[in-house]
Amino acid sequence: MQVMEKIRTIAKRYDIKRKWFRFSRSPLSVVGLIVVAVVIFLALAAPFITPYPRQAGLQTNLRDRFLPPSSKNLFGTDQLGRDVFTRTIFGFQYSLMMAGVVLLLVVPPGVVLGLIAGYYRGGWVDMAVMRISDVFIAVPPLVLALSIASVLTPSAFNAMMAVSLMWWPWYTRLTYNATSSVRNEYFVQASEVMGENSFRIMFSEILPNCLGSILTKITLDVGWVILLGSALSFVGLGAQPPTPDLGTMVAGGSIFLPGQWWISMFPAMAIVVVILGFNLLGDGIRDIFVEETR
Amino acid sequence: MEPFLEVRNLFVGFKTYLGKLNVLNGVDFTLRESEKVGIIGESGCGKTSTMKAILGILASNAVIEGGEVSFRGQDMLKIRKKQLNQIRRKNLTMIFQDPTAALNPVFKIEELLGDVIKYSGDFDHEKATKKILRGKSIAALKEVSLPDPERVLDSYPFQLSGGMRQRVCIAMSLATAKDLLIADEPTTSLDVTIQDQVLRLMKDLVDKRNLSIILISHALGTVKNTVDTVYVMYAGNMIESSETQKLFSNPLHPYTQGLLKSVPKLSGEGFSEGIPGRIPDYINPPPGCRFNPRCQHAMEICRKERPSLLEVNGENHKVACWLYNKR
Amino acid sequence: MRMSTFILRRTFYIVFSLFGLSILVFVLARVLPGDPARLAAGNNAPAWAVEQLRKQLGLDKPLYIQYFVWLNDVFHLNLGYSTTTRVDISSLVVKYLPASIELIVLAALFQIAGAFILGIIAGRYSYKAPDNLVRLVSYIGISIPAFVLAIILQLVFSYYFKIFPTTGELSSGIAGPHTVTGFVTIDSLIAGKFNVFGNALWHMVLPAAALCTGAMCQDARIIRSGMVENKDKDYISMAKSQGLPDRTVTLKYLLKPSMIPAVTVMGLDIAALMANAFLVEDIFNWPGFANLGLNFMINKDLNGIVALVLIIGIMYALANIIVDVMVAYLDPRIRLMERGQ
Repeated sequence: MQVMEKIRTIAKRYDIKRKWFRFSRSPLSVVGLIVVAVVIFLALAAPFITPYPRQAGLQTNLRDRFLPPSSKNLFGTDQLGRDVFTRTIFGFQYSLMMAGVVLLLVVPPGVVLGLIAGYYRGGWVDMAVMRISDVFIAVPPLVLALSIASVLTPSAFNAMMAVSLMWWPWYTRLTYNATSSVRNEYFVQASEVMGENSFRIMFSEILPNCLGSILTKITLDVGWVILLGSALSFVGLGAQPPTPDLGTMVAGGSIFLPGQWWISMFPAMAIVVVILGFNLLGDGIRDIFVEETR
Repeated sequence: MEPFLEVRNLFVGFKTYLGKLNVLNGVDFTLRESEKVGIIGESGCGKTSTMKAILGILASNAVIEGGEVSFRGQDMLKIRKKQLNQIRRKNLTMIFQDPTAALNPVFKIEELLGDVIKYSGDFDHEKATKKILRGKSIAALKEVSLPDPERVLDSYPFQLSGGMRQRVCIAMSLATAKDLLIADEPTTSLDVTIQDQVLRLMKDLVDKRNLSIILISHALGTVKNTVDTVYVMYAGNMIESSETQKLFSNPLHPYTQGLLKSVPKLSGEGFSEGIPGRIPDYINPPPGCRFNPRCQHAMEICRKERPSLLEVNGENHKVACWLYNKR
Repeated sequence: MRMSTFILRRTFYIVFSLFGLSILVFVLARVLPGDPARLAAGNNAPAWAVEQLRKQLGLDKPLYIQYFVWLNDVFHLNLGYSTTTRVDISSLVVKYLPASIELIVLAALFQIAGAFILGIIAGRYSYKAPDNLVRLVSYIGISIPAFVLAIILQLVFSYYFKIFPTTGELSSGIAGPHTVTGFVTIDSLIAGKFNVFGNALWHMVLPAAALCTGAMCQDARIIRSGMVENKDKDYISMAKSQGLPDRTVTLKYLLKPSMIPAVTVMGLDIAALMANAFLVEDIFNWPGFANLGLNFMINKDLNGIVALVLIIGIMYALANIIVDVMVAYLDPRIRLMERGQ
């Protein structure tokens, strides 16, 4: 089959078999992979597998408020009678979507800037890019995100924008460092001597060497972005009710602690599980690439 | 003279993610007091691992699977930590191949040397003040001909040259070696111009203090001029041993013969021959004698059973080869 | 190079960044939310009141003039006027910052102590039971957001097991000490009121724990991996072969090179503490600077937000300088090899 052939060639080119072997050595990494896979599946299938999908949106059920966990409502119901289990699963959907959007916005420009700055190291591009990114790094990420979000109207979209705006410098830095260290290697100089176009060198010679750290960071960042997003929502600067955002749910349910603990606790656990999964997975990916350089 | 260091049938493996490397395959090795022994062999044949096994400093993924290492009657593999440390402090010492890696980069020499002297000294080390230790350190550095010992003490390893670092290591070893000095390729990582100096320094000290020495090297010339007895090691086994002159003039084992032929002659006659083949894969080593895939004289039994290191012709010349062992 | 030159260079570099930061935030705060004057006046204020307020706050001048006016004020230690609380921001800072610093210092102590203890145990017994336990706990610790942990700690240790108090700085009924420095802990010690001191500490435990756990686990992992990596290095084998006592080898010769990467990260982790404080102080009702800042943010007090970011930037910068100095002290190669390498 043609598809099988193509898969086999790609696998050979990137040495996937060996990478998988190394990856699977660590049981925790495999656990991470499974957790992430499950979360992604749940997020994608949310409308189809949850018992009360409409309660993730505007539908309320005031008759069944504050019900503790039962067979009818696995995680109980919240202050508006909505099924917490359903909303939590939709919360996954929302978190992953946010992480996806942010990273999509941030990674390409960040990496490209870092490549350019690192390649033309010592030049004005280097100075400009690095000084600007230093400004964003001068303050802890959460503080900056909160500040930016706070001057905008609170909404999910604005929260994503706020996080995106302050996240790109980390990728620029990472790529810059990786590029700088590889930049003077012989194989790069060889290409230059042969008259290769600078941009081609950057993308086909230098970039693959940075790929390991970038991929690792992206995976771990999904967790961090979700954490940041849920923190923003928790203080009310992110997604607004009735959006089933995990942070908003934790905040909304916190006033009912400890009595109706399930309203806050299950979304909180969900946040932890997602972050844990991506952390384990990210470490596993890092291990693959670290061993390669030895 | 009775053997004061004896390694008998030592098996050591290393666990890696690709599988277990069965490196040491029944090593037999004997050393008498004040004897000077050299071990030669290719990189990766297990010379360093054997020495590390003796001192108990194998890597954390090492597994000792059998055998004995006896020093003055005590089994080094089985004694308690306290006794082992005593022996390490007083009797045995090792000089590592790369002095840069052997010195902790974030401590000054004063600290490194001072601690060694403190714990190995004959004095009560509770009373060892900084001043006393410094005095003894300077004395030790002077003994290895380091100029300006005060400056050396106040330096970090990276501030010294390669030769100086190795001398510092030698100075450290003097505090801990009353009986045996193990030198693992001590000059390999040094500049050629310094190698001779350092080697001569070691020789002088060994002679002066009447120490035994095990000198590991893959440079045949170095070994030839320094030791009385030579062991040849291949793929985790000692395959030949004899007095230096005899080994070089009359090598018996096919590997040793090939090894000596590989050395280019200064007179420039013809090309030196190598030995065809490669060292075995330690994860799936060949059964029997590990040299058999590369050996011209390999017989059926070589592929089945490993020969032991036995004396030949009663001349203190031992070989581990079915060509000579009576069967 | 000498230590003083090193510090000077770093400081200059950071001051430069802070300028850039102040410009960034200032611009954002003026440009993004629409009409700052309207915000300050409130939605119901009539148009003429808004215009008057605009003139009063200097918002009718061009942006760059506003910035320089503000900058000038800052250098005279005047952080501006909070539009929501109608109080001078500097006085608010003096009032609320000490409480946050107390919390952060305690959290930092917990973090460092915990990281070393856990990291050393895991490193020493690597791949055996103690290590596996520490690694598992660390993973979970890193993955719990500070605010989730704060809520859980409050739930478990305050509601269920009534060991620690729930909120606030001091229990009701206990009078705070006479204000000398503004730090409740220091002031109560000065006044000799040890029960107040104890009470204050008791109130700090849970919030500090919530603040530092994530960072502590992160640092422990780094220390552990450093030790595992260095364990088989030649200089450790050599130290062992010289018969040095186990304790000396582990705690002196193995620990020092292994903790250097961790110390580097600890600077970033101080940032984590300051950031997490925003949510944790809110949950524990702690009268601190972060709580104040959060209020500024929710109420869109623009002057407050700008001042807040600046102060945190400065504190973070100071922490980073301290960390840089420590790393240079620990690893002589950095200090002595920085030029021309």
